[in-house]
Amino acid sequence: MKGDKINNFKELEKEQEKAYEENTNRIKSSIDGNLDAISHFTNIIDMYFSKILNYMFSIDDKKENKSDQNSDNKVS
Amino acid sequence: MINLLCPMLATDMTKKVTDEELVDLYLETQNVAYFNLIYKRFSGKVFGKCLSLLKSESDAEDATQDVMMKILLNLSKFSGRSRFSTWIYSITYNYCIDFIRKKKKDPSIYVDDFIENLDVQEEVDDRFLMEMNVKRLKVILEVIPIADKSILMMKYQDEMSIREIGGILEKSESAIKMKIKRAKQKFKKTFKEKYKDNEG
Repeated sequence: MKGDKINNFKELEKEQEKAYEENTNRIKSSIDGNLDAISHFTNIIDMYFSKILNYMFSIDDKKENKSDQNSDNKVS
Repeated sequence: MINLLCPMLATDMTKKVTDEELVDLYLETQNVAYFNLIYKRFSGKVFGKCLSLLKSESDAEDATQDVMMKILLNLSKFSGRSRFSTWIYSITYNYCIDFIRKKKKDPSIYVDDFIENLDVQEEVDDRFLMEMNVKRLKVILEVIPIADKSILMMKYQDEMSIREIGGILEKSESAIKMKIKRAKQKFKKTFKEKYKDNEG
């Protein structure tokens, strides 16, 4: 094509891409594995975090109710 | 709907969608198929650069994995001020430079106090490098110092501007111009030593 310059640095890059396809496929499998692990971990956090929060709030509520009861008893 | 069709469409769109558009699509939809396309476009190039600089397949694989994960996790930080390819390659080169400095214990890479006895008057034509036979190009690049190899790769393979190269190496534009000039001279000197009077 008119104006196209030869650039064998880019040709070398294309050759390397073809030669190392197996390596990049292997790396992709590893990345996918990591992403799956992260996804499972965040799902677990999502699943249990709200339950843990609710549990902590319920403990707090019980403590407050207990102290309210104690102060009522003292007054009466 | 487009998300369901995405994998098929993405394949057809491979050649039509720009890198920057792919990034926007991924950030909007969080659909991993778009990252897979980005991976397909760039992983080979990233691996090639890592292998060229680190000279070990296993190190290059580890480096490529780290670089691609870093890209995935930081896609939202891509500002669009440079080409997406430049952003990816700058992460790649910076990773490899840090790797060489730490693990290979060569803190001298890119230090300016290397003084070589080169004729600084001689200007090497870009075409001498770019039009060289690919096999010989590969051989010469394997032999010259990593600092020179990487700067020539940034300029001729990645087509980065002087300013972009300066940003990666944290050097002034005039320093980069001088480094490129010296790298080209070393390249030519190495070529002459290896191939004597045979040209190209």
